[in-house]
Amino acid sequence: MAKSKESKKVGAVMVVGGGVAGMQASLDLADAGYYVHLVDKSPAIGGIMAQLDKTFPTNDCAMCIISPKLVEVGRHLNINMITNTEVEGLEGEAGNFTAKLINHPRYIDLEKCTACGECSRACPATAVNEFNERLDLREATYMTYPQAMPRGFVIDRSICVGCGLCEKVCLAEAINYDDKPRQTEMEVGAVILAPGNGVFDPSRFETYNYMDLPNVVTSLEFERILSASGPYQGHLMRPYDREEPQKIAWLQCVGSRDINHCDNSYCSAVCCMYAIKEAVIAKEHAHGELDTAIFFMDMRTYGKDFELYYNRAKEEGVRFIRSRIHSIEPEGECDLLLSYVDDQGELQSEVFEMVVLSVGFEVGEEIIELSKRLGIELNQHNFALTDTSTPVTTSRPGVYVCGTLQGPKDIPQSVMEASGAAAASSALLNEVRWTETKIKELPEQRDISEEEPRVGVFVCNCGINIGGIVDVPAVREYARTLPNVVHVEDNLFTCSQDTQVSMAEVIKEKSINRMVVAACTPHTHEDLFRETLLEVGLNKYLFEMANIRNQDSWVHMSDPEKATAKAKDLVRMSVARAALLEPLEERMIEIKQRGLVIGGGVAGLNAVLNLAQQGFEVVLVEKEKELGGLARHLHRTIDGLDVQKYMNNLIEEVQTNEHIQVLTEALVVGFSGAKGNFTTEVLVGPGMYERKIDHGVTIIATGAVEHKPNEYLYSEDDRVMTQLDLGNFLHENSKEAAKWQRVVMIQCVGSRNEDNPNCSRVCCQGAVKHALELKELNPDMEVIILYRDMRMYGLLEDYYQEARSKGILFFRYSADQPPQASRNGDGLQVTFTDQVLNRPVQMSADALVLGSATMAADTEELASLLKLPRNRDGFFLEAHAKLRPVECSSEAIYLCGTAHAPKLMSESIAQALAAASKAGSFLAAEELRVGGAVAVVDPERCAACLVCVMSCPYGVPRINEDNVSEINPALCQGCGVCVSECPGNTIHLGHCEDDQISANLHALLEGVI
Amino acid sequence: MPVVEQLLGLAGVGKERLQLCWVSAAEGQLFADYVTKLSDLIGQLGPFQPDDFKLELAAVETVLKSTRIRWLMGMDRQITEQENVYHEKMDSEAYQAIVRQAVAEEYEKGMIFQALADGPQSVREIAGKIGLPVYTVSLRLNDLERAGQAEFHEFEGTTAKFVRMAA
Repeated sequence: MAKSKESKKVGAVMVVGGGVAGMQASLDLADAGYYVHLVDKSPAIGGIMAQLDKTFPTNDCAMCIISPKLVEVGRHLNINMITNTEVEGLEGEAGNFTAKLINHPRYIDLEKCTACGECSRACPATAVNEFNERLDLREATYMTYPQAMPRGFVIDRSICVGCGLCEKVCLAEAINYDDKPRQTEMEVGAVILAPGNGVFDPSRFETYNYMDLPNVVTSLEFERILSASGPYQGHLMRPYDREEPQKIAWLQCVGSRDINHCDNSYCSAVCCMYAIKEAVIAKEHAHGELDTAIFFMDMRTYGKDFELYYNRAKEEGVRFIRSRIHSIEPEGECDLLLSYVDDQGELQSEVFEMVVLSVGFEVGEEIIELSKRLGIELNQHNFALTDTSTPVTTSRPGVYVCGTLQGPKDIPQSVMEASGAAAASSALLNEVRWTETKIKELPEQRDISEEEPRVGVFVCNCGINIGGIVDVPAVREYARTLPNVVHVEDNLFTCSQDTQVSMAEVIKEKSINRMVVAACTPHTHEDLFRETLLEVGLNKYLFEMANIRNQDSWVHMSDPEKATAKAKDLVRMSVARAALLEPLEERMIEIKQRGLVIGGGVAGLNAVLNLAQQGFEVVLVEKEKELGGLARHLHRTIDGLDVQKYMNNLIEEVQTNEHIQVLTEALVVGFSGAKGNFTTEVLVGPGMYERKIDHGVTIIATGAVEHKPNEYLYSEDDRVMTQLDLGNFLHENSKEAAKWQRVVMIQCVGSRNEDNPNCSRVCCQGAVKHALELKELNPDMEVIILYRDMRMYGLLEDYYQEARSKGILFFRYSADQPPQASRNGDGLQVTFTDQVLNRPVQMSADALVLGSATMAADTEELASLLKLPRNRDGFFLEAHAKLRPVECSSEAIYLCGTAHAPKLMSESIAQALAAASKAGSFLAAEELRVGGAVAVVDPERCAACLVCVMSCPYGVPRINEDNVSEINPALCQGCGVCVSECPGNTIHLGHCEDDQISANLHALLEGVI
Repeated sequence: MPVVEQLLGLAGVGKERLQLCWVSAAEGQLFADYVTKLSDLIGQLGPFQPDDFKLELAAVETVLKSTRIRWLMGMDRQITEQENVYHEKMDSEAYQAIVRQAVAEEYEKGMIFQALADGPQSVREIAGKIGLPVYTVSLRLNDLERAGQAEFHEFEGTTAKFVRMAA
């Protein structure tokens, strides 16, 4: 039978779920040339991250770091946000799906809603506020949270009585009671599932009395309590009586690592870190001395810099008590009694004023149903079923998964997977890139250089946000009297669509060539108004904004007279500056359509292959003769992947791909250029012949190495080996290994000590993996693992359980009493202090296996050539730990694999795909817009004093061949430091010229000075 | 009337203290019977000292003036006998339950608002003054904060003090 009709692939992708992962995937894809439909069940995107106060390990404010993403998603031309919508079905196949959606009515027209909040203030119906985890109430007409995107309100029909009051008070006439559910269909080429998960509901735990005791809260409730936008405005208070607690306890593993109260045997991977974070932040908020105690089983601080975070918390006085609490009993009126058995076997009791339950992830019924509707398989814990070597691919081709539905994980891991899923989609759809995307056609910019300034002033009422305090008509009339003003008007909402249209008309009619809007903050709408100017043929830098809302009406609500006077001052300042604004040129430079990947291990190979599949030319540089990196020494992963087979296939795919050029025995010796235009010099092969490669992006995948221990008789006795050595031994000589009667393994060798305070993340699972293999070889063998914490995070926990049930013995040792290895004649002995017996135990061993640290590869030279910073342990530094885990601070240079930090192979693969996604998105644009509000040196007056070179925080100015300073407009960030430092006043910053700033100040002080 | 009765009950004044009866000029006997019944009732109830209920009555007044309660009361017949904005008729019992819940919440908020007239107080101090459970005060105070009628003032040690905002 003939091949079925080849239907053309669709260059659009549906992303299900608008949390941090969904948003990241959407942005990557939209930038890469695909149209994205971002569907979310809630009225607003943002997910759980929007509920968090701070994020570990940087203690950044969660909302501060996702707000830019929220705004970018909201205004991206190629992202279609579809909220209040669920996916009912998905038909078709990879490249060509038809998605069926059901859009639930919002009852408020987002095109008209200006988010002024009047409807909410008037609404008489209340319900528990889910965003604040039921700590307080909200109205039926509400906005999920203040920074919600899409910006607007929604009516919760389940509690709305239909009284009609909101319609009466809505000045924008946005209420629409006749809104109905709508069923729609969409054609997409790929689907990315990023729906996230709920957290465990602890009301099932009768002994925790969660429902009866108000001072027992979940960790998410505690996040809301700490949050400045939460019910207590960020003051540390407990729900019962709003007192500041002086003693708080965290109970770990609530709803995780539990097969008694629930079936969640897995570890939720994030709770140890978030409990430490909450304790540390709570101490910051507290007025008095706050005592914090975390009750745990294993402290799973396994990520990059997490161990340092744990150590700092201990120094700050956070108590860590290794015990799993059984019950929380009421004590007195509202306090809580916890009883536990300590390390010495003594029963202890402590009274706390508040208890936080560290609840884990749980896949809820709704998500299970969604997965069924989308036709993807789930594993035994209801997380999406994926493969080690394809961590973002589901059982259904063309449907990818990322974030916590893939498995419990933290934000950086979710963000990496999201980009990885985008890369996979891009590879699938690369032949239809740019076919569904929208492009904006803009008219030619008119030349205003000969014109006198003609300023148009638009004063906004912002509903009653401004107009209710500031006398807007008075401000408008005042503006009429200012110099150069040819038009004034006031609007109810200057940002609304219809106002943009009328503004464009007025600008043309009155030949306005400078626009001043007196309204909210530029952060909200500056881009919108600049777009309006572009659409009418004016340069976007001819726009000025006066903030008479955030900086005036909102903060001077009690004094309308003074607020009005201030608004007039602000408008006067803006008009004076606006008259001096000049059009600024931006130009397009070409992006070299080639990528360079440095490092040919698992990460490098996956990155290079995906970039090639996305349709780009790539060069892979590997310093060894063989490709494969560390994976050449691995045989099996803990979930059974045959590593050598996988690597051989991967290497073959790379070598036979026509878009990929592989250079082995190649060393990078030179690196220059900037984003989009790099030049790298490489010496290749034993002959060391020079190659010059021009490329637009760079990916660092230089990997890591296993630490060779200098303790426990390693290198002194053949029976002492590392886990990597054991892996090889088992592969080559399993018969010998089967004869062993007792194997002892020691964890944390070379990690978590003074020289290397980090955790190497992979050694615990490495030990368990080999322990299980040994038991398989010889079930009678005694296998003993000496550990400090068993860091079997996420779905690895099940292997830990399996190991224990197979009789593998686990003994804990403390850092101050490490085990000892010694020889007794021919015998090898290990001595350690058992915590339960509290006495030394000596064992003979046929083999001693050391869980040795993973250290960064030697990249000192490369790092200095590329000017890439590394942390004190030699791992490359990413641009931002949470939100930019694959980007370096230098643009167009990306990072993946163990060069970033120790990680599992599947995690390296996900990160490699993420780097390829980012690199691909950058290359796909083909051109780069540079310039505008950047610094420019006047070469005639420059004395080459080097002050600008030294003061630039981005290292941009350089002395050129003419011996004067030159600033590359592609790299300048427009911060203005060099401008203010230059002793000759020779550098100018576009859009912030001296005369403009001067005019601003003089206008402010008119009549005063 | 049910709203007022509920409020007087919550205030501890008792709903019988307020009586409403419609009598026309032609119903003299009815009027006489009614006054007799009322006199007996007053005799049973005994004297009423408004000063003992200053706080409670002020709270009752706040509730009756609130937009929320007035709008809910005003829309009652429309929503339960004809249709609401979604062209649906709501079950009268269900609507009454919502109104009762709202009235109870507004009364508690009103009491807290009145109590705060004396200056910055903690949740426990307010609870002690108005005789409501501590946790209830905590929740209702939060509602007042949300509406901008009360605000956190400062910590005295680890005790949070709250103040009320000008209307």
